[in-house]
Amino acid sequence: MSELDLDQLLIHYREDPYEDFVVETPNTGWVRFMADDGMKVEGPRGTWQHIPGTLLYVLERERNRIPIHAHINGTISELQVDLNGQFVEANTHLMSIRHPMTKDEVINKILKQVLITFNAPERAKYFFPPEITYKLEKKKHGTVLVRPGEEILIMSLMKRDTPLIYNGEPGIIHTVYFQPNITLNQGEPLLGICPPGKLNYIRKIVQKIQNEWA
Amino acid sequence: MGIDSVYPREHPREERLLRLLEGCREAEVLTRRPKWGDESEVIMRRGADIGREFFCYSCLDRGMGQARKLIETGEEKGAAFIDGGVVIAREMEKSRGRFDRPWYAPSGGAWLTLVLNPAFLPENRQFYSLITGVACCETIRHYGIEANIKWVNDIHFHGQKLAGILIQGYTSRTLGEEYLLLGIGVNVNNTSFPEHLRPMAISLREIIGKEVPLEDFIALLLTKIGWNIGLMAHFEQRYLEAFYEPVKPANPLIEQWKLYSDTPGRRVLYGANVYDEPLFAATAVDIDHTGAIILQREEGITVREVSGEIIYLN
Repeated sequence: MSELDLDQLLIHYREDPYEDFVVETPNTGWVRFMADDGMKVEGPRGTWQHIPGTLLYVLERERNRIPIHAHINGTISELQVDLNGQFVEANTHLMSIRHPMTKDEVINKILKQVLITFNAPERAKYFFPPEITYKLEKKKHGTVLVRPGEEILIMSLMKRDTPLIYNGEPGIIHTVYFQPNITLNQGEPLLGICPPGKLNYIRKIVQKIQNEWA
Repeated sequence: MGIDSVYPREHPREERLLRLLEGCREAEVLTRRPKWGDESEVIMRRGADIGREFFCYSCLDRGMGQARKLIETGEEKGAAFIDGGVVIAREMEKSRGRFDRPWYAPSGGAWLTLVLNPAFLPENRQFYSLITGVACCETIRHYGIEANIKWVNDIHFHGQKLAGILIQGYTSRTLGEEYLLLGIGVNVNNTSFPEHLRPMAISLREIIGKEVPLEDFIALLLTKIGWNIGLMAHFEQRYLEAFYEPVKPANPLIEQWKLYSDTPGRRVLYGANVYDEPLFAATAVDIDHTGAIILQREEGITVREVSGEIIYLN
């Protein structure tokens, strides 16, 4: 793993502190927009993210109307107005959400280039097995070592619990991206694993961003 | 290499169970025929892998652990585990439920672990939880007990637990095969419970006042699991055939679950691990076509949960 040009990355994020999230149709259907270009939208809120975000559009297929809400806060851009009222295929780009990044998000975005990320294999809830929970409680954050072949997480869907085995290179659990009570979508990051010998480097990155990001 | 040389038979009970299961299946087809007609045979055949082989033990630490051991032992000899194989223990000493909760499994209960190769489409695999719950409830009701299902698959009689189900995915370390382990515990003839469990647990024998032949019960339970797996496979095929049709067939498993469940309409406490970390109180409205629970919170917000567990508040 080559070291990052941190100064360059920080300049880049200061100049453009946004992340663009593409909004695509999950399946075919008739589209009716409920948001305008340039409109500010909110993501899900509440303790368990149970209050849905701003309604973006309604997708209708065979009299089944699916309201699609914003999954993150930001401003609507690239709205494909010509698709309003049209029948579209799955994965059609309808709009983007330009999301202003917080300091923690910048840190996480940069760290994802350094850490080994362990992603959710299915839409489900995730929690640590008892041994890892015990280690995380007992040891300081950032010192729990995981090795290939170890049970690292439990994926829970409708009371079907599937142990997830870690198969990457040995490392330390540095960042926990999930909350046990929130359902995660497939592909969302669960854990950031720090490769051996890189912990000090990662701490340096975090410190530098903490100090220099206004 | 023959099956017997990979997994040598150790117990005469195994042969008897295979015979009982055959008889139960024939009876099940006859019972279902008025509703399902000739399709009942097709459905039963689709679930006929359940109980293809039995591995019976007097005492085990944990059924799940033994199932994993058998999978690995077989695979080291080059044989994938038998789809539908069942591990049965007369008693278990270190049995555990979800979140490592202890499960009391003395002699007299039905303690079994069913090993499956998950065959449903990935989006339908959550139905194994509902299938097992419905099958357990149907089996207990066969003995005249009005048992109910609490979402997802807890089986109780007037609030006292009769059966517990633990479902775990497992990827074998030797061949990397994907298995599903269905751990099922039913309080059949066991009548003594630890003091702290006494108010919460009950057995069939206590309710009906007489002993239930345990092997008959296990054979019937596996038959019902086989039927409901067959029913789901049958529905999956019909659903795919009607994929481009405007009206899709209803999932009979969901209908059956609703028939036996007393969850809709109840005030509940919900949480991923509700006993240790309850999250919120709500009214259970219904389950949707995926089996997810619909909860109406006090703030007027409706949430849909695909995972977690509930406790009844009324």
